Amino acid sequence: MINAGLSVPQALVFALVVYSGTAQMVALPLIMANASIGIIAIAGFLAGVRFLIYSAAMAGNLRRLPILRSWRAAYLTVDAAAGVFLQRRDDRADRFTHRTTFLEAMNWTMWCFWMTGLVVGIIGAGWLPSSPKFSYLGVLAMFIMVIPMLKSRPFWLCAGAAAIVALLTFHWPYKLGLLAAIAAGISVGMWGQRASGAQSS
Amino acid sequence: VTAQSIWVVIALLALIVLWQRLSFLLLPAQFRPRGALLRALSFAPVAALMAICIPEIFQGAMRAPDEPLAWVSDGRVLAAAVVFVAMRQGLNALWCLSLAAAVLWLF
Repeated sequence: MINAGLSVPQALVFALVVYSGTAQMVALPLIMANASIGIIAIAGFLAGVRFLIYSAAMAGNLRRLPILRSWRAAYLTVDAAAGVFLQRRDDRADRFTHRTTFLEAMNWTMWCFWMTGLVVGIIGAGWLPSSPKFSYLGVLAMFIMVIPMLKSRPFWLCAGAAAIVALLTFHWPYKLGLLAAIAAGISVGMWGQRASGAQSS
Repeated sequence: VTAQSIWVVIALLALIVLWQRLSFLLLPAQFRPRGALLRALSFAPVAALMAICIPEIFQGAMRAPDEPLAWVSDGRVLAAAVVFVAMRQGLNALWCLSLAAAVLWLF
């Protein structure tokens, strides 16, 4: 953020109120490239469309909470927390008690680590070593979460399709490839589920 | 880009992120996902996480399209492969990440 030309107060507010790594990653190069505000807003929206999917998937659970608590839980839920929560909810439907407390605990833990990292990075931008290997461990932490989700053929197909399309569309602008990959993964997963259902019946 | 327009961008992005995450909480109950949409949503986390992770894992290979086998010796790909095998073998996540860090340090 500092390298993109934001002042320290701007970077701190950006980190605090735009709690989305992809929105930040998409917006910063566009700010550096002097893109118009409209383009940055559209790119930020497209990069975060998957949160609409998470919101739809979790709304049933969160609606039971008091309104402010449900909004806070929804706002703080990021990819990793949504992945773990939805996985547990669907796999252990009977045994997964205190669901929203579990989600909130994950959310606050991630928020604290995320904000600490960002604030340290913003304040120490000048003297911190910048090794891409450190940030890559974060990607691997997300990858680790996917592996237990691959529990049946439709999920393998979904993962394979999402991976292939993500690679093929990597160079698309505004992270549109991310959306294409998610759409492909979901479609192929559903097709696989239908095909396995037809085979077993 | 002026300082003022950066503040506008920050405010707009904050509103967009907020709306996206609260969207289905703010919509009336009849818009609750059901049927095919509900089934589709069960695939969403896998698809989204793969779509985010895979291009990062193969980033080195994609930046060198002239060397189609460069990814075989890429530390990022090797670390991801080690994580994958270790997780499938039942190792816990922390051990997997430690192994990955070791691979990244070596390559």
